[in-house]
Amino acid sequence: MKDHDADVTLLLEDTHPCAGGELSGWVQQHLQGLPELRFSVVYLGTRQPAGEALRSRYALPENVVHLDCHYLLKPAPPGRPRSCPGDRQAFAQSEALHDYLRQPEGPLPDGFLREFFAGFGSRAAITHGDFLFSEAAWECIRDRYQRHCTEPSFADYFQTVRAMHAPLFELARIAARLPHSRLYHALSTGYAGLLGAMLHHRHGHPLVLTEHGAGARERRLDPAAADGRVAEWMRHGGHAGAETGYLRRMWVRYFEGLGRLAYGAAGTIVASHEEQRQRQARDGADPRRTRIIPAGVDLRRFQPLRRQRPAEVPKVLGLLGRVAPGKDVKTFIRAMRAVCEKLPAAEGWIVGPADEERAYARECQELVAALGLAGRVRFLGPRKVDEVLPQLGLLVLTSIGEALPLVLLQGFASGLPAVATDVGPCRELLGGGAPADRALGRAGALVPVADPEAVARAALALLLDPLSWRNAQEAATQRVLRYYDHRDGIQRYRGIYEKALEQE
Amino acid sequence: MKTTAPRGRPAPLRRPDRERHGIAGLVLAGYLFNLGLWADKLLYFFWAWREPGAGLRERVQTALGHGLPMLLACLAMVPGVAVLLSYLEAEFARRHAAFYGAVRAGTLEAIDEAGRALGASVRERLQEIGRIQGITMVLLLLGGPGVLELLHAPPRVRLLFYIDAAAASLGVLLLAALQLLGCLEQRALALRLGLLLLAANTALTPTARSLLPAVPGLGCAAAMALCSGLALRLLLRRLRHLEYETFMLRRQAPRLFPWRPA
Repeated sequence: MKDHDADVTLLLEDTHPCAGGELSGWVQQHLQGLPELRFSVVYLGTRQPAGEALRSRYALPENVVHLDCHYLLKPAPPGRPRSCPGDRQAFAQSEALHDYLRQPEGPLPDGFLREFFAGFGSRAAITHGDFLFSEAAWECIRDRYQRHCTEPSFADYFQTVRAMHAPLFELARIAARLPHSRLYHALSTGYAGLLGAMLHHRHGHPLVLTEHGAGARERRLDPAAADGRVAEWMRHGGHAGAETGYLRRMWVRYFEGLGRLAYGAAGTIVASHEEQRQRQARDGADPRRTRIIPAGVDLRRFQPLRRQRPAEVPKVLGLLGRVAPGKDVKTFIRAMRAVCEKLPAAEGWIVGPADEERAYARECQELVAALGLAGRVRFLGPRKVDEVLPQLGLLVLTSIGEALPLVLLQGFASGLPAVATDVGPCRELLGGGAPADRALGRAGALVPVADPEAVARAALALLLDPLSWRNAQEAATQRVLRYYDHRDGIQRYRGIYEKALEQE
Repeated sequence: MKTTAPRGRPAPLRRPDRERHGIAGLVLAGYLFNLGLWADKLLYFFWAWREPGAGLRERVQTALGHGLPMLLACLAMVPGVAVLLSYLEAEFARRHAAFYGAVRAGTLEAIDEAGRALGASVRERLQEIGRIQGITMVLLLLGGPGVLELLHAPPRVRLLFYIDAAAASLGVLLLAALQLLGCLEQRALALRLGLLLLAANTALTPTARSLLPAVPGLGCAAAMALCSGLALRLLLRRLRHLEYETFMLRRQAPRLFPWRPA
């Protein structure tokens, strides 16, 4: 084994170690929790921000033997435009794959993908230059436009096709150069999942796929939602305005296709909650290969916070998260208006960076002033979660979409009940999934999306009634202790890795 | 031949910041064309000047004997050039705008249709220029002898006039091809063709002079035939592959929709 050969290669998109977010923290925990394995980490970013170099935000643990960081959109394509015929046979193969992804019926012929991805991006089949400049590519694009596209502008269609495919060739280059690894583990579908599928088909090593975030289907949501990645890629493709219509459907179908390729290649597909597992099956994952491993929290870190809680429940409602439309901070502020009428001593804290969506943050501050909540609702900016949690009386989550609400679990572990919207896994987290879990009781209250009245009612019910607050706290603590200890998750991943490596 | 390889194309979609550069390229191609057309005459002037033992009067006479027929032959270009200019101003400009308009926002069908219409109109107009130059040549052959008789031109000069007139007629087709290539975002190619004309005329004239000293002007005519043939071939090929080259061989700017305001 060479120095940089790894047991497991983690494939990460827009997260650890170069970007922040909850998933990044999870990855760091994961790496630290499996010190006996040698990891190689591959980071895939979208486009390099001007004047910024790629750098790791985390001190990587010692078992990370290799780190590769890439941006998928390069400012210029390779080489100068040059007329060439292109390999017609390879393009026919690519056509067959496109047709299959458009209407997946039955499995692809045995070895088709292995052969396809072995040559993809190299001179043996389709190079990036062939895709951009060859006559065969031109005929393919024309043909597919004539057969399927209802978009009036051919130029827009053409540029969309180019924008979609450019990252694929970058991925092929990355796949060809990665150091040897016995196992690949992609932390999302999309480009990370596709890279995993490419590596699996090229080298034959097993692929594990974990989805914490939204799947391809949820990517249809607008930029305000939890995962606006389609919107982001569309923005990069110059389609900021194309919210509806054929091009948008094309992007959605494209990510669904990428997801399908990843599901097909993965031997084990991990969801973080039941609803997600069902969604994966609908999107083309084989249900026999899906597992649920809930995302967990580090109990050793959060449980001691409980002792720091004051004897009386503080009348402080906290929203922990970025000030962004996806978190629907405005609903929280409106709810605070209603809470303060019944409970004049109540305070609302918004803890998280406000500099990512400046316009939205300004609107929120104006709303606070307009509702006469100045001094009652405070924007605290980014703070250490460990310091904030013991000072809160109730955790509030008003998001219109959540993929991995680790903050709920952190709150639970520190003895803090919550009011959360019914999105993603929140229902399971608050009320329990399996019958034994449900028997633990409710760790707070579930409310509809964008309903300030309901948030206020639920919050008051908990804050004004110490008994139900204590019950919710107890349920929260028990639930997180039993089902969401991240060491259990690590243990189960260890099992998955071992089994996959054995089969290999 | 090196110039046939379609390389290093400028962006085919016109953008304001490229316009000035494009015009400079066209102007340069025009100069090269004229220099190429006169290269053999300049060579003859040079040789006449170096003629040992000739007086000044004889030298000037020999030089004029080569220059004047070309000057007269250039008049034969007038009808073809007139057709070309009016076409470029009106019909070609309209079809060109229609094609690039369709490229910007049209369906593939509309782009195909506009491209076909543009190609057909160019081919038609080139044929028309060819026909007009043919008629001009016939008129010159019929009316020329009388005029040259009046001017007391020696037989060698008369022969040179007919050959130069044929070369100039081919020159109209070359000029048309260069202009159209320039308008179809192939200015680099137009420049190279101008250079080729200059090189071919400079190289073929001494060769023809040593092989067939009795027939003057053959080098120029051969160079013109070669270059106009090549230019027309390249132009027609460009028209056949107009859509493919417009979409696929454009140098990519970092922005994906360079024609849209940011």
